[in-house]
Amino acid sequence: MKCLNRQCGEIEYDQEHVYEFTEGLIGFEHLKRFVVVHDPACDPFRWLVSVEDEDTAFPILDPTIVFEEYRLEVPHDKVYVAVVAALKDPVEASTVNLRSPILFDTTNRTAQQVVLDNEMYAIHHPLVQRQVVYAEQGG
Amino acid sequence: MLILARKVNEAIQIGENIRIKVLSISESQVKIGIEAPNEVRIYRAEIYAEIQKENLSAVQTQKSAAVKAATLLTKPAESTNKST
Repeated sequence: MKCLNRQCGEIEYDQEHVYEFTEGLIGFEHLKRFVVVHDPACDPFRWLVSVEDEDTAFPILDPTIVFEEYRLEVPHDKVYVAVVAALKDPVEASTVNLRSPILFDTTNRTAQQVVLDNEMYAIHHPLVQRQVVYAEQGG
Repeated sequence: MLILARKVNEAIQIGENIRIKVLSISESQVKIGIEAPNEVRIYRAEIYAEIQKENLSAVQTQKSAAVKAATLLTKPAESTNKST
C-alpha cells in the first residue's frame, strides 16, 4: 500500500507494518493507524507517520539516547519504547517528551502513548543537553 | 458547566460507570478518588494540555530540522565510541 506524507514523501507499506493506536496520540485521538519510517538522513530518529493524514508525522527516538538512565517497565520484552521529539531550528530549541512515551507492542501491532507519573521525566526535555556537556568538556 | 457542592466521602456518578468521590479536603488541596473503566483515560488536565501542545509542536517539525538534530546527535556519539 502507499501513502503520502509531508515530511517523508511517498511511503510504501504493508498492512502488517501498521501500528494501531486504539486511543490515538494525545491531541490526535482521531488518527489510529501509523507506520514507523526509517529515513537514514534522520537517524537515530524515526518518523511515526499517519497513514490516514498526510500532514501528520512525529519524529520519535529511543529515549536512552537523550536520557541514558531512562527506565520504563513494559509488559513484555517485545514492547518497544520511543519518545516524541519536537525538533526546531536552532536545534538547541528542540525538546523530547520523556513524560509520555509511546509503547509499541510488536506482537499484536498495537501502540499507545502513555503518561507516566514520574515527574523526573519532563514533557519538554531539551534534546541537546548532552551536547552542552560535551562542548564544556571539549573547551 | 454543572456545579455541585459535595462534602468529604460524597460522590458524583457520571453515567453508568464513572464515580468520582471527594476523599479529603485541606486548605489548598482536594483529594479525589475516581472509579472508571480501564478504557477511560484519566489525566491531570494541565498535563494533558501540555502533552497535547508538545505533540502539536512535534508534528510541525521540518525535515531539515530533523536532519540537523540527527547530525548533532550522531557526531558526538561516534567520537564517544572511539574513545572507549
